[in-house]
Amino acid sequence: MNYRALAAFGISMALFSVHAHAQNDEEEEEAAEPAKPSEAKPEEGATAKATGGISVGASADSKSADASAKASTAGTTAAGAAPAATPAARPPVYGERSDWSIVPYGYARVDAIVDSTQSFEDGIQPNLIARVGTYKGDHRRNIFTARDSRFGVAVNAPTFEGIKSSALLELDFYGLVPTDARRHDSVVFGSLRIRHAYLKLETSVVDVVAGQYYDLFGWNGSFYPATVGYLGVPAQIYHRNPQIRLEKKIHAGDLEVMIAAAAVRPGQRDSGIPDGQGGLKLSYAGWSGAATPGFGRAALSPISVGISGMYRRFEVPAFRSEPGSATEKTQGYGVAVNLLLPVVPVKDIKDKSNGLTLTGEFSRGSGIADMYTFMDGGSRFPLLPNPSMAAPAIQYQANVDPGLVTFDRNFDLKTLNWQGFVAGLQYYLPIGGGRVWISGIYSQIKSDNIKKLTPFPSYGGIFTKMEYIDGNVGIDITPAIALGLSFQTVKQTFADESPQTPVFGAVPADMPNGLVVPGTGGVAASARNNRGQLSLAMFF
Amino acid sequence: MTPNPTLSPRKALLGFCTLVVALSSGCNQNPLCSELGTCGGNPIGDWVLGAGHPSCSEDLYLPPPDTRLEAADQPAARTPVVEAALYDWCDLLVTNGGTKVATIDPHFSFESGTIGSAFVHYGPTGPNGTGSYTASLIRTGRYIVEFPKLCITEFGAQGDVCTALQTQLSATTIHKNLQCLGNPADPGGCVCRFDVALQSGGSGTYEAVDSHTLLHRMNVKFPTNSAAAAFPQKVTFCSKGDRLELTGADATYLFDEPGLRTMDLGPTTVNCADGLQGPGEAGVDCGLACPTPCM
Repeated sequence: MNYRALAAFGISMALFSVHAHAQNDEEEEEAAEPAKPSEAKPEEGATAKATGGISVGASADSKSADASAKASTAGTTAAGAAPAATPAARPPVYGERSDWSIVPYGYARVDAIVDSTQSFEDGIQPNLIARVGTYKGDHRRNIFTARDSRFGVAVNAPTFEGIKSSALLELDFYGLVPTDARRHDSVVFGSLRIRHAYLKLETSVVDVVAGQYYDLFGWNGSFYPATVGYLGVPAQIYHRNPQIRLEKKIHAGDLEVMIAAAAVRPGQRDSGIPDGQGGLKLSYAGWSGAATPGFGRAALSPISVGISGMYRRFEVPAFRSEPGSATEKTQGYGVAVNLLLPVVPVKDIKDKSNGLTLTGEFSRGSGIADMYTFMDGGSRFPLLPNPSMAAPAIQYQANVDPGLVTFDRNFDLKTLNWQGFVAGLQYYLPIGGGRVWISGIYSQIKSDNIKKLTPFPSYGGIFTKMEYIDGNVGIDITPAIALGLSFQTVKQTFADESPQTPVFGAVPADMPNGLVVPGTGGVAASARNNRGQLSLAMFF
Repeated sequence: MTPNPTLSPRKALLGFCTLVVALSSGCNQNPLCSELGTCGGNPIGDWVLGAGHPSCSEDLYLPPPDTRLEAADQPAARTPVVEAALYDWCDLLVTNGGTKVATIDPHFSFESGTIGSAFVHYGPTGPNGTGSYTASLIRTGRYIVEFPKLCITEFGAQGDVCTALQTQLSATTIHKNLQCLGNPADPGGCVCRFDVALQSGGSGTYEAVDSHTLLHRMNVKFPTNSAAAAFPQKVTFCSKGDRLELTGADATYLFDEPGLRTMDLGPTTVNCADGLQGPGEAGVDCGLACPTPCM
């Protein structure tokens, strides 16, 4: 039975990866009949099944179920006809209620932050840091927020014909807010955001993860450094995506080899094909240490090495005012190597005393800036030339998020290169079994072609390098409540250079044939933000 | 995990709060331009920048205006606003194959120019404590702009376009010493070098707020000599006879010039009728302190 399920899944994957054929000529277009309204609906049987399931599941009261059915038939929802909410009486989809595990989890957290500039929202994202000499660069910002609190539900269903199934939903409060929302509303209201929403099937052959989950690229979730600051820190691959992933774990004693491949939401949906990601991870449980992902809960983590890669494709309209159907295409890629090394291992997570763990990540890629959490380096598409001086000027209609690709000086489509690394060290003091920990991170990311791909008047609007350092102290006040303090400093180096030092008192008219000392400019402009952060969280 | 009785939560909280208070003092970025002296004194006289008397500006990034978007910056209701974009690879230049090579002149973008030449005059104060001042500033520098091959040839220009560009633009642009050559790094493209002498500043009245602070009220803006209605601006100063140090008070820009923080000026005597270009002049007996503008 599980093989049949796998075969069905394989067919779905194959269909998923097939390219949609472009319409070739007008005759075919005309010959194609428009879909009938009834065809656009789900199959009736499926509808009836679902309705029946919902009706039965929603209420054990037959009168309510009847009322609900009548309302559905009328095509309206009668407020008074809603079934009574009696979850205790709701039968499971299959098996016994006691066979199902539904576990809520999460944490309530508050962060108090002081920034030396007014450059960032809650997290240190790769926004441009305001320069010294500007208002935002010379003045502080103070942030209080509880939006990083999280709530999730993990569900485990009873094993069915050898297939173990589970699902997980996890939310936080960083949902999009209207652009005209007041600052108060965007912080205090905290709209919901999906973090994870996926199901997992585990079989003896292969495991399947389908839904929104951490990206496989960079082995997200397995190698995070410890910090009170928000993940991902600059240069860290930190991203979640809707995906369909196949995983296979092979065990040989304490050694675990994990191979995975995934079809992932494309970086550009109009490229027409999903991104591909793959990876290999080796773990040895005989050598484990304490590792805290971000400001989470420490876990006993084995020494691990992961390598991963990704591939994606871009296809955008040609860089013309009227591109017609002309396209420009290119490809992006990424490779990453991750390490978790328990320098001083621990045997029991209840006593982490003197545990010392190193985490590291090296990544390189092109056209993958979005993997670094909102990263774009300031890059955009250039303005279109406007030879006719049309007003309003014709704008290039981009169909891809900024920072992944742009047009070079010959109007050819190019991907932007980024290379980064993150090194983190965490140490658990011999106090209360490791209740107090300290950690530090150094990270750096740079691009060797963003400047080359930017018209010079915009040099000041991009950065070519970003460096980040933090130091953290965490204390478990109780086993469930953690208090953290962090200092974080981040520096950006921009593409523009400091102005040349003129010959003071002289103006160019005085310069015979322009033969003058050209000045002493040439130092790349930069800006820095320093942050102090206090965080308090209760995990449940 | 069993909580350790030796670690008092109360002490931990207290320690953290202390650290937070310490951190909240912050550590801001250091300004590039340190504040100059505030000793006060007598600022009356003519002053200029010169050797040993520099100005200092913060390294701002002021993106060039996109002149093509003047009619498009107010989108109609329910239409998305224009997305931010990088600037034009051609710096607005549009060439063609006709006799006028540049049908649309380039913007000649440049960045973060320094005030390289300045003339500042403080007149004596009257009975009401108000005097007149003049601040003529010139942002100077030498810059290079590259035009990719595609910008030169896309719309039909052919031949030695770089030389044609130099000839045409020398007559039309305000930039000086323009020189355009073929770009060896980009065959088919041009690289142009130009000098900038961008005048700004203004004149108005001033009064003393205290012993070391002046209040400027600008009412004429240079170089257009148009009436200005600028906000009053405070300037701290230190005059020691052989130098006048000016700093924008409360971290404001000096004379409202973006980025300009300080000027260290030396005394001068202006002679606008000696047939020579002397201190306080942008050309021979013209500009800056002279009533005759340079052509």
